[in-house]
Amino acid sequence: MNAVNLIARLAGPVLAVIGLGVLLNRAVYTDAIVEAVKSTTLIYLTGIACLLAGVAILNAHRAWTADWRVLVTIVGWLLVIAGVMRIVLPSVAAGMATTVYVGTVGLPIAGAVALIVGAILSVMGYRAAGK
Amino acid sequence: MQPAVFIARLLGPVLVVIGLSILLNEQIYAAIVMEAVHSPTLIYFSGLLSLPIGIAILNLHRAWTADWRVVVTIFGWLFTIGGIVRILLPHLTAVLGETVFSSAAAMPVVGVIVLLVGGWLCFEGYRRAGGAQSAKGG
Repeated sequence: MNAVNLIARLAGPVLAVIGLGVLLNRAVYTDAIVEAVKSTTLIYLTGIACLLAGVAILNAHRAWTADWRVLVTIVGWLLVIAGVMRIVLPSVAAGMATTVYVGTVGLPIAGAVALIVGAILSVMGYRAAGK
Repeated sequence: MQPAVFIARLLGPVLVVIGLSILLNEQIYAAIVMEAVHSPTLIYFSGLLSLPIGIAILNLHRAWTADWRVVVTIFGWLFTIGGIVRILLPHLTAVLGETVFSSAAAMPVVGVIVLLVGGWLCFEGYRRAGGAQSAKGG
């Protein structure tokens, strides 16, 4: 199995479940964001997790091809940028999260995007039979 | 090295440390559970940690064999289902966590199980001599 398929097999279901979770539990996830932005520790820890995942993805796959694989590259770069932002500019990250997600349509839109991207990656990653 | 052996080498020691820690710090773990079930953020993050680990395990090893390797498969499914439930059904997770750990006996029982299973995985994972270079040993 090549790297991009393995990443799609891991990231696809995770994104799909997150997207569905956000759409089904909007109030809970709004509370989670409000709670998370108050804690510099949580912002820092999520930044470390994002940065590591993003750097790992880009090291395994980093190509701007005109097919579904470009989603893996985009997810990799978004994770790297989000990780760097949270670690280097935590107050900006907290402000942005509150502005974009709390009390706006940002959260359901993000949930829908995560669900769609996750579904595409899952289908593409798992459609090749076997391991 | 077979994927199941590699996973056992990673998962085994982690479970042993967690199991020992639960038995040695029962009250702290009870406090952790109670704090976690009241925080949607912590439920979400623990789901986010659990789900990729489960999917990664199942992608590497997913076989219902009649030997120790089935433990790896079971853990893969438990992490996957645990992650999905935490992300999709955070309320249910909170209720389940509170219910299961409300009994005084629950924490030591979980600690002993985690310690025993972790010890077993360590034994099976590491009893084959050598490290990554010893492919024939697996």
